[in-house]
Parts: sequence; C-alpha cells; structure tokens
Amino acid sequence: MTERPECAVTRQLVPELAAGTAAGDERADALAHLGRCLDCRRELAATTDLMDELLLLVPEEEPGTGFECSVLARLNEEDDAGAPVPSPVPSPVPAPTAPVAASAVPPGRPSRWSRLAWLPPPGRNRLTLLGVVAAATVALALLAAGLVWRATEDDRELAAAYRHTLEVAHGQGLSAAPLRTRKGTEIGTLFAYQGEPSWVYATFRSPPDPGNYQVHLLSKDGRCLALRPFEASTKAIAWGGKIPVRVSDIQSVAFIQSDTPVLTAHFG
Amino acid sequence: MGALTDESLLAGMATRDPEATAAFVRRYQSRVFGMAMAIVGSRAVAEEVAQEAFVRAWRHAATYDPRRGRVATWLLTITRNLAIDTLRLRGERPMDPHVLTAALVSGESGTETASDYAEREHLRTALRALPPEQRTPIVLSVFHGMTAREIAEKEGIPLGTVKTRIRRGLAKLRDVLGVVDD
Ligand SMILES: [Zn+2]
Repeated sequence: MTERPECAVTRQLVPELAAGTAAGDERADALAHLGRCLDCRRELAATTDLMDELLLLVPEEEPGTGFECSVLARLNEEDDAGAPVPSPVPSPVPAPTAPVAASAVPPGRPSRWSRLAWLPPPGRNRLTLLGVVAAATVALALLAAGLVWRATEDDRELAAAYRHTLEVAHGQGLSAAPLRTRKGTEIGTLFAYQGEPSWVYATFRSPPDPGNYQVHLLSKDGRCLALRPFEASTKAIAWGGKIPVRVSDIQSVAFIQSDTPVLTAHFG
Repeated sequence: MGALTDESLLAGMATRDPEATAAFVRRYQSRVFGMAMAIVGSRAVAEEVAQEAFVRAWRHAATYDPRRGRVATWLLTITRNLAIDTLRLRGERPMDPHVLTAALVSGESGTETASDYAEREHLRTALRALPPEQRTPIVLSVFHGMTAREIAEKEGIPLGTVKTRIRRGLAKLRDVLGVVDD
C-alpha cells in the first residue's frame, strides 16, 4: 500500500503516538491530520492494538507477602479520605495516549508493613478454650461431611453439644469455606465461628507442606489482619486463631509461605 | 467471583464495592507486579509501582471505556507509565532491554483462555524472529517509553533509521496478529 504524501508524515509518527511517546508539537500536527484521515486512524488503531498485545507478553510475577492486603488497606484509606469518585464521562475520539496520566509515586510513604495490624498471640486460656472448641469443630466437620469416622459416643456427644451451642445458642452459627491450593485443589476446610471470642479454624484432609506459615485475614472492608502464625509439623492436621472481626466481614483467609499465599479460603 | 468478567469487577470497583475491589486486585496483582518488575527490575520499587497502579485504577475505574481496550491492557498501561515515571524521578535506569526482551520471548503467561494463548504465542514467536535491530527499538519504545530520538541517541543510530526499523518490525508483528484474527 502506498501512502499519500500528506499521510507519510503522520505514518512516521504512528508508532510513537501508539506508544504514547510522541512529543507535543509533532503530536499536535499528527492529531490534526488524524482527525481528517480515516486511513491513518485505522493505522493508529491497529498499531495501538499491537502494542497492547505486546504489553500482555510480560511474564506474570507474584508480589510479596501481604501485597494484596496492603493495596486494599491503601484503597480503604483513600475511600475514608473521601477521595472524589470520578463520574463516568463520554470518551473522546480514540486517544492514542495512555488513558491515565501517570505521575510519580510520592516518596517516603510508610512501609506496607506498618499498615498491617498485628494481633498479639492469644493467651493460654484462650488457646485452651480454642482447643476444646476446635476439637468439636473437627468432629462437626467430619460428621457434617458424612464421612465414616470411628467416632466414640463421647465424640458424637461433644459434636452434638457444640452444634447446639453454635447453631442455637449463638444463632450466628458456623460458617465454612473450602481451603484451596493455588491450583484450586481443595485440601481442607476453614471454619469461622461468630461468638465471644470469634475464631477461625482450619482442618486439613492431608497435612500441608511442613514449615512456618503466616496467616492473613482480609476483611470485606479491605483491612488486612495478621492472625496467629501456623507452625506446621509433618503431621499437622489443624490450625486455629482468634479473629478481631465479625465472621460476616471475612473476605478471605490466606496461609502464606515464602511470600506466596499457598492456601486460601474465600468467604461470601 | 471467578466467573465475573474483568469489566464487571472494574465496575464494582468504580462503585467502591469492597469485594469486587479485592477480587480485582487478586486477579491482576501478578500481571501488574510482573510489568513493574520488567521495567524497574527491583522488587521493592516494583511493589511501590504496582500498589500505586492499583490506586490509580481504583480512582479512575469509573472512567474506563471498554472501547479503548481491554481492562488488562488499560491497567498494564497505567503500570508501565508509573514504572517509567518512577525511574525518571529517581534518576535510575530501567532494566536492560535485552533482559526484558529475553523474558518477553521466552516467558509464559498464566491465566488466559486458549484462544488468547494461541494468539500470544504467535506474537511471541514473531517477536523472537525479528532481527534484534528491529526488536530492541520496539522494546525500548513500548516498555521504556523512549522516543525515537532518545533511542537513536542511545543506540548511536540515525533517527530516520530508528523510525524505519520500528515501523518495519511492527508491520511484521501485525501480519502475525492479522492471521490469527481471521
Ligand atoms: Zn492520512
């Protein structure tokens, strides 16, 4: 295809227009021509599409532990600060530049860790209480799942007693969500109990990889809370921790190892 | 959440729906962080850039216009611009374009549909097949935000030559996409 002479100058600039790097004066001339010339607009649109595709070739990479949490915490702050919500505006003629003007990241922002609320480890009494409740939760889970399980009469009574406590006395009952690996395989269940105190409890069908896990709870309003860490032995089948939010406010709970959320349960 | 389209998550974010916002961040964080890393090359700086990119997306979610491109490219463009600006502000150099090019031609993307995948692999193959003198200025332009003049100075090549090489290279890449589209 041969270019018309008046198009040739603009075509020279199309790659830079598409990449958003064209300088002001050249850009103004080219945009004036584009307003008159359908062929050049098509050329620009096709080149922009291609560059979009090139952007998608960049390999994905997982950010560090707590990234999701710190982003959501930051957005929550913005929301609280009453940042104006832009109203939808009609789009102008296809603009070749980036849709959002970039500007610099303000320096000296506090580290993302400073936004994480670290909870003190639960006291011994709570742990003991938690242990008891947790045992019942496991029993409940297995019974509820209809698994054939060599439960003793005592176990069944305990489970029944807590079922009563959870479902009747406290009304809010027990919530549960599947615990999944990054590949989506379900390897356990995360229970959440609304009460005094409220807690979450994870049971694993098969032991997770041994090691130390950080456990993060993400609330629906975007807060990130670090729960009691999980030191998984080779035979670990369960973990539990107190939570400082209502069960209905839980968005997700993630078990994080080596900066990667390896197990996640999503609620709601 | 997994079944929702990118557009509906973004729309949810525009109305400040916390669940949609969380799902949006979860869906895109590895792409956004990958883009930031590809340009700045440092995890700490890349996390700052990626976080800021989500803040921008959150602020501007309501003005996103699907006619101007997919959500992924909109978000990655924001990320790229922030990464470039951050480096300029810090007076630091972006990652070696050859390292970035190697990642582009050998990398594998994670979550995408089969047809997306096929198209992307075609483009990857075509990019790999380009002569380096065409490929490098394209990478410098698209990912480092360099003007043709800046590339000419950096590479010690006449401006007209740079422009010609970029156009020829892009034309070859477009041929590949055209074939897949039909
Ligand atoms: Zn024209």
